[in-house]
Amino acid sequence: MIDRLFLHTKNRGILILIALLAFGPLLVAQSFTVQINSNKIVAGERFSVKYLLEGAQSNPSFPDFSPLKIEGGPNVASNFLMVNGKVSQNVSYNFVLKAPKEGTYTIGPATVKVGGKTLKTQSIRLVASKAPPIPEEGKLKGKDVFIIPTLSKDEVFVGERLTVTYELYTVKNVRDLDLAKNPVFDGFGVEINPNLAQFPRDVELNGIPYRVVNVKQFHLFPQQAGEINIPNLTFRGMISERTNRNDPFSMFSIHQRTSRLLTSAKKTVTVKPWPANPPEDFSGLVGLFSFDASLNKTSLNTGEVARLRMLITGEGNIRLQGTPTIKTPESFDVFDPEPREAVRVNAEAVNGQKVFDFLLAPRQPGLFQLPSATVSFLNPETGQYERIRANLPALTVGGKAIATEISPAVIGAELENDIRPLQAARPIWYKPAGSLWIPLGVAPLILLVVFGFWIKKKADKEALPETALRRSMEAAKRQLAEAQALLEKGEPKAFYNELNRTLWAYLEDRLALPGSSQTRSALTERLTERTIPPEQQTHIFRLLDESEMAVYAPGAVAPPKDAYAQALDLLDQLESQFNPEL
Amino acid sequence: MIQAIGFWRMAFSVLVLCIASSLYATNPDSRFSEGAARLEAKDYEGAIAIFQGLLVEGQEGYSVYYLLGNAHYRLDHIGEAVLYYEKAVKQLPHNKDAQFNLKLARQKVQDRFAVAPAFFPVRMWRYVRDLFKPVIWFWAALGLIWLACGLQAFAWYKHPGSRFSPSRLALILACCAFVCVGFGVDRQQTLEVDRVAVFLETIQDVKKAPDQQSEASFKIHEGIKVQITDELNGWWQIELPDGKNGWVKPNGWGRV
Repeated sequence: MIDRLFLHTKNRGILILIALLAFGPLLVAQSFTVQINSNKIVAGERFSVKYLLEGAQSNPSFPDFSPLKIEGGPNVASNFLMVNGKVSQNVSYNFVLKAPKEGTYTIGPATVKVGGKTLKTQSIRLVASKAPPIPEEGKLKGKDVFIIPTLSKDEVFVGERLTVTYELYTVKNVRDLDLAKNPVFDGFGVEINPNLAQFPRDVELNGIPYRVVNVKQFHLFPQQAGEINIPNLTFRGMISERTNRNDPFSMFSIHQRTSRLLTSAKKTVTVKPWPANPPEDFSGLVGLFSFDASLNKTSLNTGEVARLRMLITGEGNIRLQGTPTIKTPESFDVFDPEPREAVRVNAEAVNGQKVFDFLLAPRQPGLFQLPSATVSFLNPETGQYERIRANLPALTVGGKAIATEISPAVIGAELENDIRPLQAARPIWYKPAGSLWIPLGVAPLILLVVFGFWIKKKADKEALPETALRRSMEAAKRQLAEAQALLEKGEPKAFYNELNRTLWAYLEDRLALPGSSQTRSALTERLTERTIPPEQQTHIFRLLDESEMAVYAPGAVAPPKDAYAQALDLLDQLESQFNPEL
Repeated sequence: MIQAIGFWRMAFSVLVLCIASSLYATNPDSRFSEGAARLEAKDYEGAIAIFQGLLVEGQEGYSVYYLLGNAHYRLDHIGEAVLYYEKAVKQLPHNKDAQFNLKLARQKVQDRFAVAPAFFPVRMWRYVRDLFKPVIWFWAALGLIWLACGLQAFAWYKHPGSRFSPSRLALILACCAFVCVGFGVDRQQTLEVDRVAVFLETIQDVKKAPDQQSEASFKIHEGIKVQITDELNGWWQIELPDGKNGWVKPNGWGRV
């Protein structure tokens, strides 16, 4: 049986695996050992002792650890290894211990019984040293952790973006670092970069390797000229430090966590005033911008409103941009916009868009050319004012002059801040349609029944013997007509062939003559059985002979000219003999 | 005998109908126009009274709901405005005006939720479903069924042999009819099912259990739209758009 199983490679593999699983542990030598990272420990600090049982599974008995305190364990972990075909099962028992005070300790041997044998570990001698003093907050002071603000520029114009990035320099592990209190930047407009990249990088400063992380970043827009202070910011963070560097068990070493306040240095920035002679339409925009103005319609009637949209897009203090002034004809009512803005802040810039929708309501008809809209800004790179002009199309106003102000509803509808009136002239009523689904379900059923009857009737009719007879007669006549068509086309041979075939087929069908016995004698016999008169029999045979002769020996005998008419006549005669009732 | 009873019953109902219609001398259309005129003249309470009268008689529909929403919006009845705009949107889901007004009214509601859009195929289904009234879907389905049957009959007549293999086109049409029925029935259900409600009062505690003594779970404010997930002993279990749920007494609520 086993031999047979072994014949199949697949089975063999499975059997080997089973054998290995069952006997594997026996194949490897058994051992029981104790492991410890170092014999030197620190009083009051946790360390681990690991007992490893290899190649066997049994319950070891552990020594009495006192006066050492068991802080945790035994944590049992077992693994099952197969290396180069060798299987080994290891079980490890991990204890977490603590020495209560300094001194020398001895851990006795642990024993395990495996297969009648007793395995024993070595005993361990430990020396616990005195714990070092826990550093206090004040003692951590120094150059190990600090925060430096960096400015993107030392000199900026009023309104120009100044980016200040607070970077943490540290040689220690700092966690949960955040502002201790909300910063107040007097004299600045502020944008916080919400998506500050915090990838740490390594920097060497005065020979000390520091890890540097971006902590906070603000884009400041100074609002007045002069030497302006950027106040120091206070951060709070948790500094975690390993309390004992000699700890052999890095896994279990205790991290001393200290909350600490870190204050950044103060900085001063020079804010330059705007260059002299700013353009009229300059409203304090500093940066790089584009501008567009457009009308939503070019012709309207008095009493209606047109929307003039001004769109300022770019990088800089866009939030500070006030509503631009526009010049419109006297007869226009202008409704000041509620500006909408969308600002995106990243590490390099404050990008944004501000939209101003003015509503223009003309009271007088006519053709009005609106003056082009302009926006000026200060380009801080060049220190020059730049002006962007957007031309507007002419506005054709129809209708009659009106004296009154336009209705708030029209304005509301245009600004899309008021509900819309009902559009439909006639009310739309709700009519429940529930009952309609019944006929929908019934309709196909009715159709099914009707079709069923129709099919049944048709099938019944088909099944009647008269129908079958009539069908075969009709088929024969149709074939004869087709044959006649061949004759008219000048193919007499095909015609006679077809005539012959049709006659035979008809007789076969009517006389229940099997195709294999298509002989004259059989035909005569059957015809006589069915009491077909001899003269008709002669007629049949003559037609069959003549058509056969015309097919197989053309020219030997002159075929009858009216073969088609004769055949039809014959069929009718025979049919009246076979089925007198038809 | 049975026919005689049927006749008398019919005669009686005709009589009742005549009396009823004489009581309401004006037809719904003209009363609707009157309500619209009152709304125009800023007589919002008057308009509401007329429209409510129509609703009581069962004369409901998109237009009435829309104008009721407008009248309540003008009176700053945000709960009612949201309720009636919701009803209007339910009637004509693709109507931009009703959607817009509903959006405006919702902006005044204190409780706001960011609701994730539904799975794409579901959105597609709903979009198509809401394109037509159930009646239209019904007629479309019926038309398609007759067309499919006609085609099939033609196929049978032309080729009697292929009696039991329906023509491919007829099969496709029948499937389309089936889908139309699906759209129609679903649309019908959304119109009939009233498991959505809007809170019409200022503020209410939502309880953890259907019991007056139960602890309040959270508060809701006027105009909030919720799903009614259960009804028990005169309490509603409601679910907010963000998934929070609790129990409320159904006083001061309007079903959409």
